[in-house]
Amino acid sequence: MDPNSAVFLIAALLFGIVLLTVALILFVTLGIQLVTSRFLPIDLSAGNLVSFLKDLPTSAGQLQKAYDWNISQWSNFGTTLLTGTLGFITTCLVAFYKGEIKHLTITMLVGVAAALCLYLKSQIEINKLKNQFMYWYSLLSKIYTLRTSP
Amino acid sequence: MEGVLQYLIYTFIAIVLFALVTIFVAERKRKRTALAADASLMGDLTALSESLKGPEPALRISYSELLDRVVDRLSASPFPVDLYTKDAERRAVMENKLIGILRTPTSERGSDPEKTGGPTPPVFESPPGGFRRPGGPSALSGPEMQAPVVWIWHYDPSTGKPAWHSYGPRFGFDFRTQSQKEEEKG
Repeated sequence: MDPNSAVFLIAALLFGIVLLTVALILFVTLGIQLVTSRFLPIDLSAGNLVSFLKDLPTSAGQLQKAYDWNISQWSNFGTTLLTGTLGFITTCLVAFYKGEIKHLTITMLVGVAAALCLYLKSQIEINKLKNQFMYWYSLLSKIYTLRTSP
Repeated sequence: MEGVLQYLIYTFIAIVLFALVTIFVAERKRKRTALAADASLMGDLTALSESLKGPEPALRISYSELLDRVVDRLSASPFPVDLYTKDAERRAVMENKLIGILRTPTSERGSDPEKTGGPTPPVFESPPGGFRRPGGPSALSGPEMQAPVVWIWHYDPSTGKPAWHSYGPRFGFDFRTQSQKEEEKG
């Protein structure tokens, strides 16, 4: 395929638009998450934990919902990132065929490595949230049984 | 075209690197906050545990009152859930403290003074001529006090507090030993 053909240029532009959109979504998602976590912390207090015992079935359901939401946020973030990375690789390949950018291989490797690190972080975060939920729930159940035990 | 491709490639790398750096900085900050929260929570749990052993016997409060007290005291203590998820030792310490507090004997949970740490049984004085009820205004005499009496620590609905109550043979207690019963039968 001729790198200067119209089809090639249109395809490259389309991939570029996809990449830019994904990158913007990534930026907005992450930005909002960071801003809200900094200014509106959602960490629960130990008092909340004890107050959950007053109605454990409802509290456990709400807690699970909150963790499900958090996990799905990180999961969406990881998926978006992978899509963006594919767009990035495609754009790099287009640039490679056109031979327009210097040090393209290193640039591509740095971009892919950074994206994979971020993806790894998102997966670690998902596992951490799963563990946290299990820990919260088992602690609540353990304490709740004290109510009936002598 | 050259400019667009360059722009897209470098924008992507910049955003991903920015995200990585921001997340790791936030993680470090979160760890420091978690350590401070851990110290604060442990202090609060210890203080709460001590306050429940105070002059007012814990037996006099209900379980829901106990929960309210714990919630009030700990409502300002952030719970470092990250730290406890990772560190099993810290988790065990915190759980033991919290469970110890929530196991504080309450009026709804029965009341064995030996197990619950309630007041010690009253000391009987035995002056010549009869027994004196502990704290009673005068020595009691007559058949009621000559008979053995059993003292039971239980919750009194009329006063809302637990207290010692005496029960004698008129309440159906049979103080005879097995050998005495067999002798009477024989």
